[in-house]
Amino acid sequence: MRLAVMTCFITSALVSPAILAELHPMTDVDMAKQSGKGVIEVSETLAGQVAQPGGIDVSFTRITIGADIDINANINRLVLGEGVRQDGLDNSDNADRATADIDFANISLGTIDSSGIVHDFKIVDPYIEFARNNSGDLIGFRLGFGEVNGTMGVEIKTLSGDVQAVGQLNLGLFSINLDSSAHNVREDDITDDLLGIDIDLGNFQNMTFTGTNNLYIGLQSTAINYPKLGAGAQGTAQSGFWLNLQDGVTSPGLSLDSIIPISVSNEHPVNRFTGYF
Amino acid sequence: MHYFLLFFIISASASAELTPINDSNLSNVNGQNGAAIGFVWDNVYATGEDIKLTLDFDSGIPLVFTDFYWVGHDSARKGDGVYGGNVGSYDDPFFLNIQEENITLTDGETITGTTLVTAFPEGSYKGSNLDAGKMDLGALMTLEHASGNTDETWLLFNGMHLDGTYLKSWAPDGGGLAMSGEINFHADELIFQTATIAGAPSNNPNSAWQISEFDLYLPIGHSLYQPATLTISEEQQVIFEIAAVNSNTAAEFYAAPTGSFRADNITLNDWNAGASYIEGIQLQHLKVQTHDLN
Repeated sequence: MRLAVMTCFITSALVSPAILAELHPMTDVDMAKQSGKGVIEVSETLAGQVAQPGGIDVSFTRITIGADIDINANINRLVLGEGVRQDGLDNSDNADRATADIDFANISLGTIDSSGIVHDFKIVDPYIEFARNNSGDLIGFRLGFGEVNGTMGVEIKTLSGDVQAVGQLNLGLFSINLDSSAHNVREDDITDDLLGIDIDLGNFQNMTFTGTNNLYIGLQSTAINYPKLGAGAQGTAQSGFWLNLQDGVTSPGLSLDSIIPISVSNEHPVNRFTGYF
Repeated sequence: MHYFLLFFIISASASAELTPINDSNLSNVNGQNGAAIGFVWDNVYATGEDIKLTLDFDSGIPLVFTDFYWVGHDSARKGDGVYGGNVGSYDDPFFLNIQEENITLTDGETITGTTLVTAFPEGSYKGSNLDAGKMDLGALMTLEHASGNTDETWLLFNGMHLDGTYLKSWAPDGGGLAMSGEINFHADELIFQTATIAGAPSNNPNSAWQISEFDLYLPIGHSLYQPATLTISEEQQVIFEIAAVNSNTAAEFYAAPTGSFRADNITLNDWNAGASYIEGIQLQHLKVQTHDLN
């Protein structure tokens, strides 16, 4: 071993006696009874276990953190993959908006009600997963969540990914569900699967997640099928940044502003205290 | 014989009464304002080719880190060509202070408490040039799967510094550890690279996930309106919580700087994904509680 210099980082820590008082020592016998898998789990998916586009071999390593995350946050802008894509793909109707693979504005996770009570967006078991080809090179990476629940507000400018959401359209005395989806790179529309109507994604500003799994954002150098977690739907992640957002997603309170071209909108959920908008 | 110099700058008033500062003033702290101890790591480096750190999870697949190095920016990683870097300077040292200051509780009540502040020099965060203090940090991560397959990945932080990063901590009445702070992290390059050449990072750019000009600024709680706490539950699980904003603290919260992230360019294998950024991050509440995976 060659150790030229070892230094200790000085970190500040004031540990109160209360922390120590809550710890209970375990005997070896007690320890042997524990059957949990621990807080962090590393798992492998072997090449060939998940069929890939073009028949390439891809293996996966996933690191999962066993944690419940309750979060309430606002984010002004999320932009991933800005610039002209290498493959030149752009499926947006408004090219001026398609300056990135994913471009979201005014994101809110959770809500604050009129009484000032903070309601969280809930995340369970976040994970990261690496994809390697048969040469061992990294060709993909994703950040995903075992399950999410709660309200998200967002103004979608451009989206690359698999998205399926049920929009509940209010028509006065009754409402209809728009079961809509988008599956492409740099889209700004979502298409109703029954009527074939294109709806600007910017109108889906209020989304509710209920037991949604298989939610992830990935970056790939080539098209990849990631291992499927849970019951949620999942398609092939294309090159570049890619969002999988399917199942358990509703967008309630859509209103119809005009008929041709169809335009719907709903209000962004409130996630700031009164007087601070 | 390699050497390093560790300088302590102890202000003349160190033995006098401690002077409180608040967060807005903290970014101006240079170790010479009031009572404080400043540290300067001069020409410091560390290489440990045979050091082995193993994180063994109950899932049976350990994470093994080897081949550590912490050297001056663009220094060789081993051999005679290794040279060190600096953390802090005489004018702008790494900073440690114990002080009395006001702490706002979540119900809006303000108390006076003793806090311990640890801060990296503000350096380029405030505009001065600390390129000489940039360091390169790296390690080889090995995953040995139950299948017999082995993943080897170099984790390389090139040209990194933490100027302006600080952590303030105190002991709250209810037990546990309370804290607030800011992360100011910059790296010229973050590289996650497949280890195809034994003992050294590969020169094949197609084997890497590379992030250029990475910057992260993230406030973590605030002693004056949003304390963060670290506690252990009765079930021995870790709970980290940043207190929820409420009507008493909303005005200061919304007036405070927001978090941000930026990467000027990201490439993965042979795909160039361009720039990515997140702006205006405001954490109004965060609670992370671990649990065992089943």
